[in-house]
Parts: sequence; C-alpha cells; structure tokens
Amino acid sequence: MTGRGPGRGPRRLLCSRPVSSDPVTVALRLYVSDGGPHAGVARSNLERLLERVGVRFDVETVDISEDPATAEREGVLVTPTLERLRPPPRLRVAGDLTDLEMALDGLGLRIWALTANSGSDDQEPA
Amino acid sequence: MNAVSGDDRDRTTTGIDGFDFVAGGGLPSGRITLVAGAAGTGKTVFGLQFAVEGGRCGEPTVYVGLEESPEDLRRAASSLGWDLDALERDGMLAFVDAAHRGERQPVVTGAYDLDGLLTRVRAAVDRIGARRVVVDAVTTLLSYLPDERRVRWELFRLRSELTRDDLTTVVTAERDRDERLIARHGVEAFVLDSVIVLRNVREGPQRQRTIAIEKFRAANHQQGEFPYSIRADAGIVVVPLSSMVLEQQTPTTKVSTGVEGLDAMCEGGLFESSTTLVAGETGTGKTLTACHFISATPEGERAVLFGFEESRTQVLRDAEGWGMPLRRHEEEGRLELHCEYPEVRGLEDHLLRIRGVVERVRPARVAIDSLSALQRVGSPRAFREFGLGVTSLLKEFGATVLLTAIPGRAAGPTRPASTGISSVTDALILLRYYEVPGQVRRSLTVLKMRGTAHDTAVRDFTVDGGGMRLGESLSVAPGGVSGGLGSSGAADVGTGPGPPE
Repeated sequence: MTGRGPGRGPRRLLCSRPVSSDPVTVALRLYVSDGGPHAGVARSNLERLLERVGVRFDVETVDISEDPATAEREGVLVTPTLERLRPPPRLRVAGDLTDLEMALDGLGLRIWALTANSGSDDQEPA
Repeated sequence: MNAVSGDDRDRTTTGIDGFDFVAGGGLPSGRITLVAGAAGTGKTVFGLQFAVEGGRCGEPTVYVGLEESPEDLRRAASSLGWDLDALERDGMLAFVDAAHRGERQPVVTGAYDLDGLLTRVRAAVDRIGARRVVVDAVTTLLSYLPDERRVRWELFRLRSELTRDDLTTVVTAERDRDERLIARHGVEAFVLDSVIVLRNVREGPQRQRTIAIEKFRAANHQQGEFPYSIRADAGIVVVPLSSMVLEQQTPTTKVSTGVEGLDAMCEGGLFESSTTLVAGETGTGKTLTACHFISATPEGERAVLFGFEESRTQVLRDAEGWGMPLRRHEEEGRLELHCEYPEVRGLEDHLLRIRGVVERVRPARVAIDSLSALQRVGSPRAFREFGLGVTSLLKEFGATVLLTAIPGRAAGPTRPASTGISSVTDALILLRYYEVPGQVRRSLTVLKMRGTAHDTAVRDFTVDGGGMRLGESLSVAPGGVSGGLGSSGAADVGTGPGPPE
C-alpha cells in the first residue's frame, strides 16, 4: 500500500496487428516479480507469443514487487503468471512461457494462432 | 510483550487452554512451529486460535490461507465464537488469500517461483506490523512445485522471509494416514525448530484426539500425548495429564469416609486430597460408599458427585433410603449431582466437563461412580489416559476423591492389562460378596492405604436405613461366589496385588 503514487497504473503495451475481418481484441496481463530470475525471460517470451497470434492485443504488465496489492486482490501465487482477461473465460498459465505451445493452449488462443511458417520465422519450441 | 519466560528463550502464547502449560509457556518466539495432522484434526482451528490470541495481546497476525478463503475462515472462526472481522478492523489481523480459486490447476509453461506469495506475505506483514504469521496449510504449496528440490528451495525462501523480522510462525501441514507425507517432502527439515502433531485416532467406536510435542527447540516442555477436544465456545482445549501429580505435598490431615467404623480402620479416615478407589462387583455397595463419602462433607465445604450408572432421581432416592441428606445438601448448594449416560460424549469431553464443574465449584470432595461405566465409551488406551487425567486434575484442585470401579472379571482375557490408575490411587477399598451356608453376604477390606498402618481385616457389613453397618472381622478368608478378588479381581483395575483367593 505504500510507495505507489495514485497516477501510476500498470504499464501498457498496445500491439496491434492488421488482421482483416477479425475484430477480436485479446486482453492479457502478465504478473512478474522484477527482482526474480524469470521476469526478463517471460517478457521476451511474451513478445514471441504475441507474434504467433493474429489478433489485436491489449497487454499490461504488473510488477508485483511494486504492486503487492494487485497481487493480493487477484490472488497471484506464482510468478510469472500470464492471464487472459478478455474475451472470457479468464484463464491463467504459470511459468516463464518457454513452452509457447502450452501457453497458447492454456490461454485458449490456439484458434487465433498463425500457422508456424505463415508469419514470423519458424522457431523450434524451446 | 506477551512472551513468557522459558528456560532458554521466550515463549509466545497460543491461547489454547492447557497447551501453553504443557509447552512450557507457549511456542518458541521468533521461530517456526509446524503443526501437523490429518484432515479434521483441527490444524486450522489451532492457527485461528493462535491468531485470536495474538489479537488479545496486541500482536498482529498475518494469516496465509492456502486452503480456505478468508470468508470461509471467518465463518469457521465465528462458529467458535471468534470475531475475525473485529480483529481485521483493529489492524490485528490481515489475510493473504492464497486459496486456489479456479477449478483447474494452471498450465505450466516454464520456470516459475513463489515470489507472488512471498511478496504478498511481506506486504501484509509490513502493513499491519505483524508479530505472528500462520501459514495454513503449507502442504498445499507442494502441488505448485514440480519436484522436491524446488519444494525445499521455496520453503527455504519462505522460512527466510518469516524469520527475518523475528516473527513467531505457525505452519500447518497435512499428514497422511501413515504420517509420512511431511518427511517425504522435506517439510520437517524446513521447520526443524518445533513440531507438534495432532492425531485423531478411531479406537473402537470413539475418536481419540491427542496432541504431542514431538520436537521443540526450547527444551522445557512436557513429553507425551495429551488428549484434546475442540469446543464450540473455546476452540482447542488440551488436558494436561500428569501435570501436577508429582508436585503434591504430602497430606497430613485426615477426613472422614462417612462410614462408621471405616475411619477407624484407616487410622482416622482418608488423607485430605488423596484418591481412593472403591472396587466391587455390581451390588456390593459402591454407590453406597460414594454417597456416604459425599454426605460426610463438612458444613462450609462443597462436594460433587459424578454419576454414570444411575439417574439423579435414583441416586437421591437411594440416599434417602440410607438416611443421607443429599437432597438437602443439594438445595443448600453444598452438593452438585451430575448424572449422565457415559455414551453422551467421548472420554476427553467427559474429562473437560468434569474439569469445568470442578473449576467452578471448587469442591472439597469429589466422587465418580463409576469409572467402569466410562470404560464402555473408549478404547483401553483412551480410558487409561482418562483415568490418569481425571485423578491428576482432581489432585490439582486439592479435592479428596473417591472413585468406584467394577473389577471387570467378566471382561476375561480381553480385558485391558491395566488402567494405570494404581499409580495415582492412594487407597484401595474392596467390596465383595461372600457365601455362608444359605446366605450371600457382603464384606469390606482396606487393601491399600499409603502412609497408614491400616486395618487389614475383612469386615462383614449390612445395609439398613442408616446406610452401611460394619460388623465383625471375618476370621477365615471368605470364599467369593462373585468375589472379584485375586488375579482376575482387584488387579484388573490396576490396583496392584490382591490377596490370594
């Protein structure tokens, strides 16, 4: 509750991608602990994930070490955690997103996923 | 503030009646205590009670609920008479709600740690200035972690977090039936400071709850398992067993048995604050002896009779027939009669109820008629613990006690080896049937009396409108038709050697 000014919200990253005839915007929230070893990996893996999916994204990142109140309100236990906020249902995956396929399935984003060689560089799942 | 001085470090009280005494003042301050038990043993009640006690003595508590939501915990506490809302309002309690909310476990996509939880605990501790923490139940965390190495690592971090500010912490852990779960996951090693184990063992038809301090960093505590109960108005209540027995001063004052002639056999009566066991078959006069004893309570002192064989009405009617003014004593507030069926509650609850009455009334004399009736409602082990518990409890309050029991010959080879009551019984009086040509008569013998050169005669007695009338000494040992004497007799209630048949 201390040390946070009222005006500072979570950092937002708007990543829009021109995909015709699909008005869906997927809202995601990434919880990380910036002091921890997994935060950086999770952030870069999230970038890779966004490139795999052909919809508009609204992504916010919450650093729980700065904002424990949000972690408390949302019941976050493990970090990193990536949550799909919209469209419903709300779904969560735990971990630094090294396994992108698991993340896509866990968040129910598979239906919007671009095939592996249609978009970005073909990558071996780590 | 609230810490009680122990042998080597301070203690933090739990507010659990009886436990703090057994533990030498409470839990070791600034350390982590593991409270382990199977489902339903009251681990969460232990945690809540610890938090409520914190509120009572101005030590704020952070409650990390990994299994139940704060709402469920508030409701559970409320059913035990604790208002957690008020504690939260007063800044004495903060929840970290870490119960799993979704129906599914989240999909794992790579490496992670429990920073989310640790950060929230740290924030809550800082926010209310906590002195106490409850983590309930730490075993839930295991499901979030992939292997033992990670479990130990995360527990190590949690431990560092908790001990950083000298917090006194209760960590609960679920144990499986074989009690191996904790050791398997290294949780025990993590909380090496202290381990308390709650057990809820079904022995026969009754549950037996016990609490044991298995490992304590501070050495000053009592060994063994202690019965406990969970009560709607008080939470966990622990019954210290042999707590006071050894500290009793040697009694010198004698009090009357109420039976004419028996006092003379005992060199003036029973020692004050002593415990006497009256053993005999059904109908030999146990209730009669108990009523004599109760009715002889001097004016200005109070007595309590716990009856488990007959109804209150029956006892009063019997006493009237023997010319004893029990009804009047009751009306004058000198006597309380508590008669109930043994089966209405478990042994530890009987013990707690007896303690409640004794605490309130502070009687000079207590009679329990009979222990054998209570034997029906518990396992041999539970009964033994009850016997020890009740005698030490009554000694603690300085009451002179008369217990009755059936020698239990009918139990045959399956009878309990010993009820263990012998070690705390100061005197033993045996009532027997014996046969003369054409007649079955009754006799009384003082078999044992500590510190007294008692009369060892076997005395015939009769019963009339004045109660028990002791008659002549029998010169020849009576042949018992239903004697209950000898190896299958008195020894059966743990009374030591009886004369040969």
